[in-house]
Amino acid sequence: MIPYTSSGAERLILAGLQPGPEGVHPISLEIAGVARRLAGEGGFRTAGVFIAGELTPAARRQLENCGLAEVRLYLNPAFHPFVPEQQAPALLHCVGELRPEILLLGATPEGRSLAPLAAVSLETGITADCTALALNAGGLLVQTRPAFGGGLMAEILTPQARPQMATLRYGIFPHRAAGEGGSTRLVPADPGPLPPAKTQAEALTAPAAGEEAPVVLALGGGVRAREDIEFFQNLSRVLGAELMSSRSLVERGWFPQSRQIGLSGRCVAPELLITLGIAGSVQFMAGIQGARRICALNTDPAAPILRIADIPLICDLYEAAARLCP
Amino acid sequence: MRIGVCIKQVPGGSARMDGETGLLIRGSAQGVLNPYDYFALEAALQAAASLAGPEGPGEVTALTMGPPQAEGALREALALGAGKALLLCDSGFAGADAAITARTLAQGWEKLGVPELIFCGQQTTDGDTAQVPFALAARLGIPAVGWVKAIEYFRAEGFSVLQELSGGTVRVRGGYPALFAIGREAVQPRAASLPRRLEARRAPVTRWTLADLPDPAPHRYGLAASPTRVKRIYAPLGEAKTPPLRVDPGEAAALILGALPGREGQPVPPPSGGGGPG
Repeated sequence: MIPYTSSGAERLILAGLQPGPEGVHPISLEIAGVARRLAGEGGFRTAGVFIAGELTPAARRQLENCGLAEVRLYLNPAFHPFVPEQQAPALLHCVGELRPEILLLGATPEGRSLAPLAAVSLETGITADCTALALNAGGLLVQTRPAFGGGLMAEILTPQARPQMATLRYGIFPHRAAGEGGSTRLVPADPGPLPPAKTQAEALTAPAAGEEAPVVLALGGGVRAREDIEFFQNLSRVLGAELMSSRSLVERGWFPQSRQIGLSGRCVAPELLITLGIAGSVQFMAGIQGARRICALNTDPAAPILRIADIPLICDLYEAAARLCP
Repeated sequence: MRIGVCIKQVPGGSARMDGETGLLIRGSAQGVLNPYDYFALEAALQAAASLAGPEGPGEVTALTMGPPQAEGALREALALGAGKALLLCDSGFAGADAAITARTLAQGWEKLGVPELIFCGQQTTDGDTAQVPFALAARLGIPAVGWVKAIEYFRAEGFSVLQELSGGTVRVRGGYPALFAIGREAVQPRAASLPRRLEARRAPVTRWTLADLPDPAPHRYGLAASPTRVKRIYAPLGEAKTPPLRVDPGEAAALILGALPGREGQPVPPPSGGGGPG
């Protein structure tokens, strides 16, 4: 792979699409939507790259309707389960053929493994976990992500190296329906012989059902003691909510990381998010952008979460919770 | 078998940044060992014990890149059980992004002799990118196994670990060399004993500068070499969407219940002891 400079790049945005439990992973449709929006703003062409063990009928239908001009299909049983060293040659092959100016991937574990491998070969950089993407006046991709532990936002550019690579946080960018016209061309592609596998991967379980809880109850640093968690578990049942937490409670060891909302945890997009004792670091906010409505309760009137909440309440969380779950 | 751990000192409190350059200023914040690195160190020490020969467990080497005070993170690693500590420290390394950090760390390992097993924390709490372990493995030409949530075994002939991907749980087996990015659920970190802590204070820490690396060309390091540039840092919040309401607990409870899907605008029933909204 010969690294290329900006002069060698085509005005093309390449969307990295990945398989999901049914069809494509939903992040792929978000990426396709972002690629189409940026292409419209900057006069780019669009393409996608789909690397998977097989093409299921559901995935075919979604890819045909994703709104990109074409999707290159790299299908090989060796691509499932995901092993980054096996998929990287396919991604690099596609990048070598299409020479994109911009390459977008999902900030899923898969995308966050594959992107740095490809970036090393391409001698380019990546901005990981972007929460916003735009083009500046010079046509460069402005990659926005939370920074420095989540206290601030950073805008990052890749001025020289190509492609400009970014991974996109899942659950933040809107799905942009492209209609059912089936206008995306699916183009089978072949990277040639794959390198011998150095590791063997075996899928053990499918991911937990993708059903989003309609109500999420999130606890933060305002919770005083580990023993109190059981009370909040009861409260979550009363509210019919999934119980989750901010990073601070994961760092105290009171919640597993799988229940953490935020940049280094999960993104949630419930109908209603109720936060108790959460201040609202940028790191946390990065995980709740998809929430339809937010009801936030905090004793500190200056807590950032109260500024973005639809129902911002200043109140002691224990006293309020006691009324909800006597 | 040689075992290495990459660690990082992260700001313990709030870090500031230089408004001109967009670079992190660590001066005010007391640095601490990146919390994820405790899990990486524990995994490395367990691997060393599992792979111990007749002479006992092999030495675990901790490597970091950072300013002189990053020695503090290395001493923490020594206190926890690392046998050797190595600091890559040069003003020419400053401002490196994830890609160039990985390249610099790779140079350190190459100079030392690339270990058969390298452990990293899955991510750092300041950068949160999770990119360095994979980029480092790519630089070294060894496979990277990320998102490790359980360790089944490390044996002389190979390893078996479980990783959590968006596609579910995957068992990964392979031989060495290999790099592992360790999540918080994989192991239970040990605490450092007081004698070890005292010993670690006096233990030597090797320091290498740019001139010590196999590739000493300054333009390949630090901010100048980094493909990505921070252009702007800003506080993300504007005006409040709705002015916060100071409410008593009963009102708060009623407002929360009234906001549940399907209950908007409806009179709020008294809270019941079970079930949930329809």
